[in-house]
Amino acid sequence: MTYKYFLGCVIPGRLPYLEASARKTFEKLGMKVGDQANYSCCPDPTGAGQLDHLTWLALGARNLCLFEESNSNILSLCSGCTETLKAVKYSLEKDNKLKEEINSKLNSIGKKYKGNVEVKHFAQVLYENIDSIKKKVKKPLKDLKVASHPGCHYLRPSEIMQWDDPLVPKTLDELIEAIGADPVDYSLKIDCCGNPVEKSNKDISLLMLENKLKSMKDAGTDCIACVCPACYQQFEFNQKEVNKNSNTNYNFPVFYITELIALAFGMNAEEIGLKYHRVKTDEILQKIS
Amino acid sequence: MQMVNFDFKNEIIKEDFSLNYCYQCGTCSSICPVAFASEGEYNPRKIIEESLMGLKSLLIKEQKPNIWLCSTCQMCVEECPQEVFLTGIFESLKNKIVQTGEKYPEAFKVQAKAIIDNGVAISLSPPIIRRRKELKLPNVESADRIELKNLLKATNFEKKININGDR
Amino acid sequence: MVDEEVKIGVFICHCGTNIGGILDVPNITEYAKTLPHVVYAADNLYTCSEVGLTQIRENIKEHNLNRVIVASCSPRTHEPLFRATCFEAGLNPYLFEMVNIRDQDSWVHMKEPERGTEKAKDLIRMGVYKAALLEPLEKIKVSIIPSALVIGGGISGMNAALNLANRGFEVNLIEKEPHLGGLIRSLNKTYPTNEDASKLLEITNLVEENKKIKVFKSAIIENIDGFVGNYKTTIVQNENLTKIESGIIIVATGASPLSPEGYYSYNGKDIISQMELEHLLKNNSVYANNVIMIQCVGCRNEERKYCSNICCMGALKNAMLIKEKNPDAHVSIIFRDIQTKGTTYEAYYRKAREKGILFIKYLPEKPPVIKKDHIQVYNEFLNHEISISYDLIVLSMPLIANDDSETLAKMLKVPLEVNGFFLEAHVKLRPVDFATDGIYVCGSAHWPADISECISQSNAAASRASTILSKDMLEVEGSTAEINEDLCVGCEACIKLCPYSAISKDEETDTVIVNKVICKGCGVCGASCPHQAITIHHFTGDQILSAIVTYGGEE
Repeated sequence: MTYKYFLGCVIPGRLPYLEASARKTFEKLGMKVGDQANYSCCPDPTGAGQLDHLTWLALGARNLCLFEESNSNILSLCSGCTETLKAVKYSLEKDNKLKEEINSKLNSIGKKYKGNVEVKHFAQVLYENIDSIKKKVKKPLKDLKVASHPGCHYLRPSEIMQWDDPLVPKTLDELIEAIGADPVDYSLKIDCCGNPVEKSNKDISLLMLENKLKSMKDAGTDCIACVCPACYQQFEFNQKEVNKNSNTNYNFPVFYITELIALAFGMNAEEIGLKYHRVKTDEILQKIS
Repeated sequence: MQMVNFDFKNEIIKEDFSLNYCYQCGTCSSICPVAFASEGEYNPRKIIEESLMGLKSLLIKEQKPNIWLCSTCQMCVEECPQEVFLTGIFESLKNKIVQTGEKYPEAFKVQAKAIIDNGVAISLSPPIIRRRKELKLPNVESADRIELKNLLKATNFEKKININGDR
Repeated sequence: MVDEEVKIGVFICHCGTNIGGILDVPNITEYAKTLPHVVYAADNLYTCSEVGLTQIRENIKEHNLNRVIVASCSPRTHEPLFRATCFEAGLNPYLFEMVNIRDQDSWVHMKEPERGTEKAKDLIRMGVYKAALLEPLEKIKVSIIPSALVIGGGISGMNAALNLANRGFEVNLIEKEPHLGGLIRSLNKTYPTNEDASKLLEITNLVEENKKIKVFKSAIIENIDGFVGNYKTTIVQNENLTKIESGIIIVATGASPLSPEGYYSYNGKDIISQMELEHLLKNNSVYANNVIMIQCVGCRNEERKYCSNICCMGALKNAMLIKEKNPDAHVSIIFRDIQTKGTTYEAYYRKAREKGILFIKYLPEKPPVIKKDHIQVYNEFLNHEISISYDLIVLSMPLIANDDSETLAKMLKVPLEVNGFFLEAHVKLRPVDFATDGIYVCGSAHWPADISECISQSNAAASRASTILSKDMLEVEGSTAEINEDLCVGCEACIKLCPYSAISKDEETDTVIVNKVICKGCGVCGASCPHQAITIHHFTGDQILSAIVTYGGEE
């Protein structure tokens, strides 16, 4: 099974260091993942689809076509993109009439979606290679308490995602264990970080973040691990906003799970661009060295 | 006083039949993190009840509760004992709001405009391009603009979403 | 026998470790040997085992025992076994006495075994003093008339009658209306199968054609007399009296729909009852496009607190029938709580939603208000009023107790509950029995019941009834109450208190008499008689006082 990256918009356009950690992690695991040109916004399941479902389906189907044409499957670095691409595929498979309608739109650009492409979230691929991850760990992240944030679109709707348990997820915590760290159990683990609500009401978005942060703090975490750039940005950039609004002092370092794996594989902070983090990671690096 | 409107209810049912199955148990609103954070200002159960009653002006014009607050986290969909696809119903309601020319949050417009103009929600800025080089990351080849333009024309996207606010 | 020397044998049970692991049983046994009249005392691991029972039988013979005491567990579970053992050894079973040193002693005093042991000695001494005064009693035998009387010819009564007839018993079925069938005659289709009600009425033919069933229509009950095995009922048909003898009676009198008059500006035209809608549907004459049903009309309120059980499913059924005929019709159900229990009914409710029927919840303190062409109702979830147009409003009225149920209850001497429905002996353990032996209840006479409930309850009642009808003779408890005619002043306090209606006035002497077949020896009358004119055999004043005095009480 050959994969090509679907990077989405946020990671390459805002958070290239997360992309670096992902590419290096998959390289270290001996997986060759190619690059695909010409794809567009997935489009955002929390954005464009809310305006026009049909356009969302058509753009998503076009992206699927590109990978289908090059005989490769999709390895997505973003949960939102994963959900969109999986949901479009699901909808078109379930409803032949809808598939015909979308193909008639695609026809205007000379494309046709057949349905021969698999879509996988990068964390799923990592989990499927958990044994080889365990073997490659050089510097186990001993005693590091990590609160995983699965986020919504990594899990739900489970009917479409067909992956981890949508209400009691375990894959990320097992990956955290695999690199020698301690996964933290906290009460609001499956709740939304609040990021999509920022588009309509920033205050409520921040309150949702605060609820999550409080729950993580109560459970005694050292840092946060994400698998979605939207969630990552919410935690990384908006902790300060929460502190401003609510007179709190949250300052958790936020990692993409590939960054933690890369560190456990023995890569150094510079290689994976940890210096670009807003919340400084020095204390964590000290703790694990 | 709001008048029950079966025709509008049936319009929503046509988009997503599962609406019919709701029996108002309140599971959705009790597990909704936005309802919790907004202290009930946002309430998925209310939107579903208004949909069942076909209360068009509340849903589309007044937008009470504010349907745009939904985070699409899908918790309600996961927990609904009657398998109502709430977020699907909400999406079709938002589509109706947008496509009947009613107001909707600016951020959605900004994102749509970025996709129309550049094919992506976020374009690469010069500092990011520099960082990509530093991190030895490959170039990102953007999508074929003409192709996208044609596809969006086929779906009539720009007109539907009233991007220039001329309606 | 009375003059015979009293010889008591005491058998003390270890009950494994239940008693023996806590109390000092050998010590208790030695103590028992010292008590008056005790000629034999022994302990064993399990007195109820064959070894223990043989020991009782052998020692009755060897020591000529004429009283036996077992100190062990609860008489509720083991008294019948030990009584039978005494009987096998030639002893009258009422000369057996049981002392509970487990449930009431070793189990409650696990942490103070010495005091438990002393308590066991007290209990056994009390038993010995009571046993010395025990008298032999005889069980009463009653013959049984092997035929049944079923009151009410609706679905419950007809089904009960058929069930008993199919078991081979003669059945008398009486119906006050000129037709069999009851409420089903007014129905169009029946849930959850949506089968034609007329299909269910085919049972009428089976009943009328059955040679074992004698049907009395347009019949009014004049009088009911007798007791289990021997009921005598007088009925009137067109001024003709008929006497019916039966071993048992099944009450299947059903219930009546509450009249919609006076509720929600009912007018019988565009505001009708669910029963009237049944009629319209039957004649295929529902032309309305906007139908609204209102649930819980006239019930679940201060006057009538109960849920009528059948109206939710009934409304769902009719709503769906309207939608099936006219898919474009708008049908709404304004409800308080939808009650659709069990998997089948739950699925039926889901099907109704699937058909697009609109459900709107209302609060009892803010009921819907009917205007000229629309209804206004406060929507609790939305916290504001909404309105719905209508051209037909259907009121779901509850079933209420028949107005003659009180008369019948008095004749049968069985109780009614607060809403006038017949009250069973125990809501959970004896759901179709009355406390009075030989009378049973089923269907809506007991509580608004739907057809499947009527069928299962009437089968249950028939099955319970046949446990009596299948016997030639019935043995009833020998330990009963007896009135001392010379002491009775005729105050009749006992008549009012007797839970089994076993006591009646003796018109000749103006005192009271006990029907020993009905009496269960519960003792309520004896305890309440202000002149101590009542003796409860096996629990006489002397026997109980003797036990109390030896414990340390004063005579």
